[in-house]
Amino acid sequence: MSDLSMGGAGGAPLSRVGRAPWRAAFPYHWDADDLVSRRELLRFAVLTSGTLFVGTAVLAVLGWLDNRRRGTPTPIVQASRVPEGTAHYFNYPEPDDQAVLLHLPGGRFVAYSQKCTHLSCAVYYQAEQKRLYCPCHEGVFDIETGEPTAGPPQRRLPRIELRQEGDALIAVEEVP
Amino acid sequence: MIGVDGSTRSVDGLDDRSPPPGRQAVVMAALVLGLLLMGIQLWLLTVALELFLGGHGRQVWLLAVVSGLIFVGGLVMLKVLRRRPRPTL
Repeated sequence: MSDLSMGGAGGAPLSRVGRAPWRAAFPYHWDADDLVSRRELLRFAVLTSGTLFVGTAVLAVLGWLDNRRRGTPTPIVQASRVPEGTAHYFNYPEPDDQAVLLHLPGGRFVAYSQKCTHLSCAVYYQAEQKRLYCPCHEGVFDIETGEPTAGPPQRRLPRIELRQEGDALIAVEEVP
Repeated sequence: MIGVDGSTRSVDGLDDRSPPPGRQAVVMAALVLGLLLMGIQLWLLTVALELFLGGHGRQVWLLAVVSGLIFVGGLVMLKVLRRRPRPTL
């Protein structure tokens, strides 16, 4: 590169006179370029790390503040109208939210949201198999606990807490 | 180019030599470590989201603490690397 022939005349500093235009846009020597790129990537990784931390922190704050128990005490049905081993479908906590009440063998009542925790299809009680079944993707839930036992769902069904007053079954609130 | 004093320096004043031996390895190790920890943070975020959606949001704070410590570690690593610039002629 004939830097001297381009510049030295006139007493101007050699480093400024001989600067090619592309050098101004990319002022890295080829040896240093490798190192700078890695430093840049590392800086980007730390920045991304900060973003991921912020995301996790936001979830932590929301989880701490958010109380997602929903609903107000609402009578569902008379207990005597739901024989043992059968189900009763109702809407709770909102009129559009489907739920299922189960009279388990042994006399205990449990209720769950019908919304499958996979993709929100409605689950149904299958008395023969004693399970809650989602026909969309063959998800299966345990009737005692609402926990998934087969298929793609990974989380249990939202549970609806019940209270019995005389013969009346009352939904108290939905617990995720 | 070779200056009148015999030093090797480009016309831009940039160093013509490669970084000192071992320097690239340090930066590369920091980079690999940073990417690995970032992967762990991504996993922590998915676990936190799973817990939050599952209604166990009150257990997420521990994951946030771990994620924050990793982030602080990354900042410290950047600071340490910046404290040792390449030696120039």
